[in-house]
Amino acid sequence: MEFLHVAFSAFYQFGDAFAFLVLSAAGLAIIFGMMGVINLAHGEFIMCGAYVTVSVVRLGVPLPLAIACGSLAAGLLGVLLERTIIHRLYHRPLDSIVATWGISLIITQGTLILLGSTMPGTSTPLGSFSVGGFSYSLYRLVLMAVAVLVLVGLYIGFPHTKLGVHARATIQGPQMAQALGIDVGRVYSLTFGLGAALAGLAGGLYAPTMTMVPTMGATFLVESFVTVVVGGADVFLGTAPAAVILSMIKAFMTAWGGQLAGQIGLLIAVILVIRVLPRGLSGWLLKERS
Amino acid sequence: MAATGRDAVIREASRGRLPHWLGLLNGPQTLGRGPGFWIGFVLSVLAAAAYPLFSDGWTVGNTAYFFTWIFMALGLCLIWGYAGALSFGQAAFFGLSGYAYGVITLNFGAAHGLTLAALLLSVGLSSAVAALLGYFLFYGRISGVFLGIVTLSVTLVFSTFMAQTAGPEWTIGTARLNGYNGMTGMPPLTVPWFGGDIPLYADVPLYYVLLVSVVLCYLGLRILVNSRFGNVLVAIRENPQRAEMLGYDIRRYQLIAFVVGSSLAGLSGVFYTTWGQYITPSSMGLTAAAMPIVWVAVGGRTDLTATLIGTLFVLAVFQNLTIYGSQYALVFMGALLIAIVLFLPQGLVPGLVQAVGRLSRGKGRKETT
Amino acid sequence: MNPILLTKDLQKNFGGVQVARNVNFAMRSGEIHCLIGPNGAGKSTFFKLILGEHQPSAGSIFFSGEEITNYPSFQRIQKGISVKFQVPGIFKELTVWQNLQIAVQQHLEGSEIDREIEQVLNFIDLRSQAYERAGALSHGQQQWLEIGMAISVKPRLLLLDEPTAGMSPEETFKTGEMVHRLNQEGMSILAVEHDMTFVRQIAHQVTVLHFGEIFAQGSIDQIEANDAVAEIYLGTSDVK
Repeated sequence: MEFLHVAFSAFYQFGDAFAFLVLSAAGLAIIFGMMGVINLAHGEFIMCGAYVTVSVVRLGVPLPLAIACGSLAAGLLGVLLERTIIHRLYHRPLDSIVATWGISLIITQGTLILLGSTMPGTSTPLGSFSVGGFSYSLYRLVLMAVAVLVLVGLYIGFPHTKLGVHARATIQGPQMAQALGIDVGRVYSLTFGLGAALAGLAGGLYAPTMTMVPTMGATFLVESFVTVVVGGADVFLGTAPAAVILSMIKAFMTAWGGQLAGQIGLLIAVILVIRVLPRGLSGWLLKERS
Repeated sequence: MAATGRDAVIREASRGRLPHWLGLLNGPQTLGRGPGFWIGFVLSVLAAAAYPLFSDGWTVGNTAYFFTWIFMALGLCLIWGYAGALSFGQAAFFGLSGYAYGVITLNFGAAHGLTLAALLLSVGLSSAVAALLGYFLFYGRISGVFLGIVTLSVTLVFSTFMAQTAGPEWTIGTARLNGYNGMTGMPPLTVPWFGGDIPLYADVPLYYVLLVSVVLCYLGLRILVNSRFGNVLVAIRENPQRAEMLGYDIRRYQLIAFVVGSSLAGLSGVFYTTWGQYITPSSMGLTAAAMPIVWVAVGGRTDLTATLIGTLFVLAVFQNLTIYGSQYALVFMGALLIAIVLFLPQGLVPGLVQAVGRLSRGKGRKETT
Repeated sequence: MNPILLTKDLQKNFGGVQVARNVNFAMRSGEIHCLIGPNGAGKSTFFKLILGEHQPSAGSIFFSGEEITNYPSFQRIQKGISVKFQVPGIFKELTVWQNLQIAVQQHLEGSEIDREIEQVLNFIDLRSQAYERAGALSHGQQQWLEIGMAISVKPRLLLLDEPTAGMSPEETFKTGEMVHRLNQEGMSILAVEHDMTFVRQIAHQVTVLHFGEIFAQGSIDQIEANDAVAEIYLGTSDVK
């Protein structure tokens, strides 16, 4: 019995860390993988999703619908930014770091100016349950399930949609895709919007568990980044395994030494993984394959 | 043409009329050469030297504050602009050396020129750690975005670790690390002197020490990047595979550039700590790690002079905005970054130089730079 | 004979695909040797194995009697091998002079560097473009610049990967003359080529690669008379 309790606790910790990494990294992975853009404004898409979700909930809308609204809002913001600025940064990873950091500053500061330093949030739904004398949040289990659904959707669903097929073609060779009649510009916009919407989804999902401050995106930024980069250039191949490895280490370290130990452990894992696999996980997997 | 001018100087140097290293000041890897540029340079230095006579202690101390960051910026220019390796690690070495200086001086005091020894030891510590980290990175063939992420992770590990050293058990000798609040109260750089030691608080004497250091650092780096070593660095940046296929062990060159650049970040850290007598983990946080990237990108990362001017420009603009525009400072900063990347991707200074060049050519005059 | 380049049972697999199988290649010192074969035959992979860009799955490589199989690339260059890549591997943002300088400064000092650069510039006929940005040169000129850089390290064996790709017939002929002059000074040359006129102009020996194996070897006349070789080019072979 004791063993089952400990096993459940370990599973919960792992699942919680895994869900966090997957949900926060999915959108970033698509944008990095598709367009070679390192989007430092990723945290702001998350914040947008969170803020819109909470505002809509306060109007009386049920949470799942509110989260959808938040995700949509972030997606639209993404498309807007892509059409105006981002489309000039494709495959310029170092330049995109600087420019998107600029966007991040503008959005964060703008939100601070317009909406103040904090906004009333909303509480975590669904309450808690206990196993072996410890109580766990049921909502966090829901998040784990959503994370898995997102992965399934991206890996299995997306490649079968029209956008998905066009997107894969465009990643492989934009000029070729264009020669086949694909509107590459539109594919990029929609894909960027999808990445932003996924970020907004993460924001909306985690909003009930966090305080609403304009800089809340920063909580997600570093960890989603390292997950994407450790995964390597082929995001469909690398991001999920990267999330698995990193979340295992993070959960273990958090259980051992607390939250800061978990963060430090995660970062050290990143350093070691890249040292062993200098092109990330997908770089290594692809080398083995072809 | 510029290249011929430089070659002429090199030929003079090899005939023994000029020391070779002097010829290197004018080399191909830096903007600005010839008598016009150097006269302007000397005038700027003289103006900077005379400036405290026309200003008050606070403003001079503030300008000294700006100077403390220049070493870090120039170091990143070397690592990223010349060697092509994007390192987010400058903030890590900044903090490492800053804290080291604090620990050493809080334990041993400032008498007998000990603070100067502390400065050397602290920078040396950064050099040693950079050598280890650099070996790990470059001999492990890590490059590009991956290099950025690993160096960023190192920096954040340091800052996260230091942030949780709040308890009284976190002490080295008599120096408490103090977690988020950081370490304070260490003695400033103190010059041992006959009549009595001179402590360099954030005032005119420190300003001069920093000014001299900046000038020496700038000139030294100019010589370095224009030398054979610098030629290889630039080759590695442009086409690492080709550089290797010409017989160069590129890992060694990258490592050396990384150690030099990171040590300069450590030097910034010591000067900063001694300027304000404090150092905190936020000097190694995400924003702090990104700042050198911003200065260098705005100024013009492939050139030392551009980086120098760009860093001072961004620091000055940002400080003034924070004072007069408060909330909008960061918004403006963000807009500036976007504008630079979109319209002047090589940086503010090279972009302006090119624009001026085009204008003067349009007027029918020959290009002189 | 003491071959300048020798491979023993050289093999390279990528996952399940064998890109080089049991390649036993030998080349005499002072020879101009051409490597031909249909696309996908493994010619580029062979070059990369010799240069150290790929590690062989099995087998060994000898340069002038010394085993270099485990040497890192830069060490092989220092031993006396040099390469000109298929896609011009030059430093596009630097001037022609600087490109050569970086190649030359490895083993020369002071004023000798300038003299050597002048010599190479004359050889590759780019004297008047010395201070131009390398990226601004025409395609053929970029190829010559790269040849200039490759020979500046004074190699004993020069590897050329499709040196005349994209060149006009006049430029191709000029390149062939350069190759002859280098060979007369004692350099051994191994070239991957598709242009049979060029191969005919320069080659002492020709090796045909097919599906990662040595398919045929001999003089250019022998190869051109070989019906089996013609067949693999005209595509009657099965695609596996």
